[in-house]
Amino acid sequence: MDGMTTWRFSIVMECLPLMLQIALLLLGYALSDYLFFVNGVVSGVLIGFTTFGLLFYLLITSAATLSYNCPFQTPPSIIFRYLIRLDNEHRRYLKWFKKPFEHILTWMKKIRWIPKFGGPNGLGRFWAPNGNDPGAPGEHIELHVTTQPSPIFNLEMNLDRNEYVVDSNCIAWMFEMPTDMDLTAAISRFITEITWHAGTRAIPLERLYDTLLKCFDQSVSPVLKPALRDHAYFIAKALIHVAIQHKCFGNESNKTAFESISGRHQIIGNKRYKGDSDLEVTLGIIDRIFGDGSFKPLRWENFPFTVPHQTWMGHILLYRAWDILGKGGQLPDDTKEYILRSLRLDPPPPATIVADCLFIIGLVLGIKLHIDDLLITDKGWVLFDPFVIM
Amino acid sequence: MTRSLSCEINLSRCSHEVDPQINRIYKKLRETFGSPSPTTDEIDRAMESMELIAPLTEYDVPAESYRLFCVVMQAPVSPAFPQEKKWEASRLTMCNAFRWECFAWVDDPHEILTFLNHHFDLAIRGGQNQNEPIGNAMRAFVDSLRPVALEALKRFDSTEPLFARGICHALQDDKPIRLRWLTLCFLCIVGDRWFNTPHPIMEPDQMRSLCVDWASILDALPHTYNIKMGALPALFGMINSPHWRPHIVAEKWKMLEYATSFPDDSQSCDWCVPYDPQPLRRCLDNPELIDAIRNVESPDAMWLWLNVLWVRYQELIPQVREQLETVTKEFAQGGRKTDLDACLSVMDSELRKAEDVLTKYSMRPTEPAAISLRTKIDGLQQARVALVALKGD
Repeated sequence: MDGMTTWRFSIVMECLPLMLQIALLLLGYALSDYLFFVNGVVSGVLIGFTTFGLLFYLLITSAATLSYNCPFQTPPSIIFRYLIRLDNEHRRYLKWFKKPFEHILTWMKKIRWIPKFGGPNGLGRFWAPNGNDPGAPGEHIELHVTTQPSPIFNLEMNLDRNEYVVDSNCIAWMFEMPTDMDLTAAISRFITEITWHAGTRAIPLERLYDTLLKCFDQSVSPVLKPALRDHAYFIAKALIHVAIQHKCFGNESNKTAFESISGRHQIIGNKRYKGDSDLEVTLGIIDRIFGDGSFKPLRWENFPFTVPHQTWMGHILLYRAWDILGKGGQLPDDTKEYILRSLRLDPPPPATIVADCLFIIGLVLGIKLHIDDLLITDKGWVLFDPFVIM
Repeated sequence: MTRSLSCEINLSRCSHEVDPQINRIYKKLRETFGSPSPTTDEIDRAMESMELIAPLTEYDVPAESYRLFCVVMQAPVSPAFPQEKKWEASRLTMCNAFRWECFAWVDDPHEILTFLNHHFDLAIRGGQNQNEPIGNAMRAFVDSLRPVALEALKRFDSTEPLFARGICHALQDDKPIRLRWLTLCFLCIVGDRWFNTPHPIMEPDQMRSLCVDWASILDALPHTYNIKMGALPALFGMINSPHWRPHIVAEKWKMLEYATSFPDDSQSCDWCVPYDPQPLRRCLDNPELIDAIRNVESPDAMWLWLNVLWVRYQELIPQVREQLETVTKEFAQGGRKTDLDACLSVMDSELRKAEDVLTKYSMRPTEPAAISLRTKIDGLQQARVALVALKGD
């Protein structure tokens, strides 16, 4: 008997039903979550039962916590009562335990086991206005069926209060400074990670284009300098990113920048780069954006993309589709090919690519793409290190 | 600097984003096709997006596609949604509903039958390659029928000339083997309407051609439990029919060797159509059959049929039992004792199997399965005694 008392046998025994109750709650939650998208009525009944069970449990726990004589004692009520009457000695113990726990938590954050706001995304993000604070960064938002149509670009934002606008303004400011090639490439990598919004109009398209040209030896016809191949890739991606954004926002100053670039653009995407399909395609897209329109569409099946590049392309094409379909146009053939190619891959591509394809298909059908439809992530999640490039 | 490092952004957007978007797409498609007056633009966009989602293999897709198929088939034809587009839309939905390993369950076969009939028509009269839509519809019948739909399908008149020609067409040996296998199974479902009729439903040359195609697909496949399940009811149907019996390919009478132990409950079958014992029952109760089988081309047919009858000796009606004993005596006197020995060894083997299974029920002797096994063992032992007596060593 002494051993049972010393080793708190009664507490251990009381934990067993507690585990069963937790398991039941988790089962109810999981079933409700699963059935929510399968059958509304069945899930409604299940949610009702689970909620009733939970409320009833909370009720008896509260009663048992408040009244020691209550016959419906539950393990949580015992714990609550214990916490309520904590004396200084117990508090000291708790404080002592808290420190290593905080250490572990900090370490986990450092190695990114705990994301700040949901999972990361491919390229650029949707700006998520936040109820009372439209400028606040979006929180982790899971997809749900939204009824309220909303544009994916919020053009009427409060510029002073949005940190993503600060991002774009920073980029624009950095471009105003005299920067060398390495720094520009680092900035370019950052461009593909910032949220898409009207503030990105401030990023100078022509400046970016000029920096890209510096990666080429232009003595006869543009030839990529081998040492600057990776710089060219990042800058080209950033240029496409910003160009598509500018097209989506479509104002007169953008039009002038496009005409200026188109007027002096020379073909840069007609070379083979030792099987570097990602680079070939990126430069090829630039030719098609700024060229004279005489290019044949890119055949995606000819390019064995890396998965990160394909992910990035899916995101870019989603924005492009939004732009074109929103203006009453047809879905371009290259985007169709991209979707078909991606969905036919065996093994199937990562869910992020499938999701982008499905969002494009949704746009074809006229389903409004809501900002809530994508997970909003914090750029801290992206492995961005400007010094790595140097 | 490594480029891949910069791209290590997120390949892990949660897959739960995909499923709700699929649900939304299909909901929108159902709304579009279910609308009483859709515009041409809406229909065109819906068709375009259906082509784009065709390669999807997500878990929700088959069920959603089948629901959409039903909506499309019930949608009224209009200037914006002409008949041709309607068939194209139904083809795309069927493709996603029954192409993959997971598939939608069918509650009502009528829409699929309409779809199948149309594609039979295109294949036969139009000479078009319709293997994919026909195969998908067959898959719906063979793998995905709920019991209520199976009953509805059995009531369907499959003897209609176009439909019958379509089945024959799908079984031809120039068709993909999967389509032929599905058709073979489908024959098992509708076989009663084809074989158990007082008058033939097609011309003799068509029947001969079908029997040849039926035999060739069986030659092309390994004789697994599933294949036997699909083939034997049709074989019994043909054997019992005086119109079809002469056209059975001689070699296929050898399939009767599977009939002594079929169906075997210990084996599992991934085919949703339950084994139909009626065709065999009809054969066992048919007093004309022994004489008819004597006259078929196959030399093995008679003794294989004797095996089947002796294994089921206790179930036979008196008239057939009498015929069986007469024929067995003739065998014994006619120097075909080796055939009777083979028959005995088949019975012994069945006895051993039944006794082995019965040992599993030693702790539960009153279970229906145990009672049924004991009845079977008693029957086999009595039959064995009778056969040994007739064989008269």
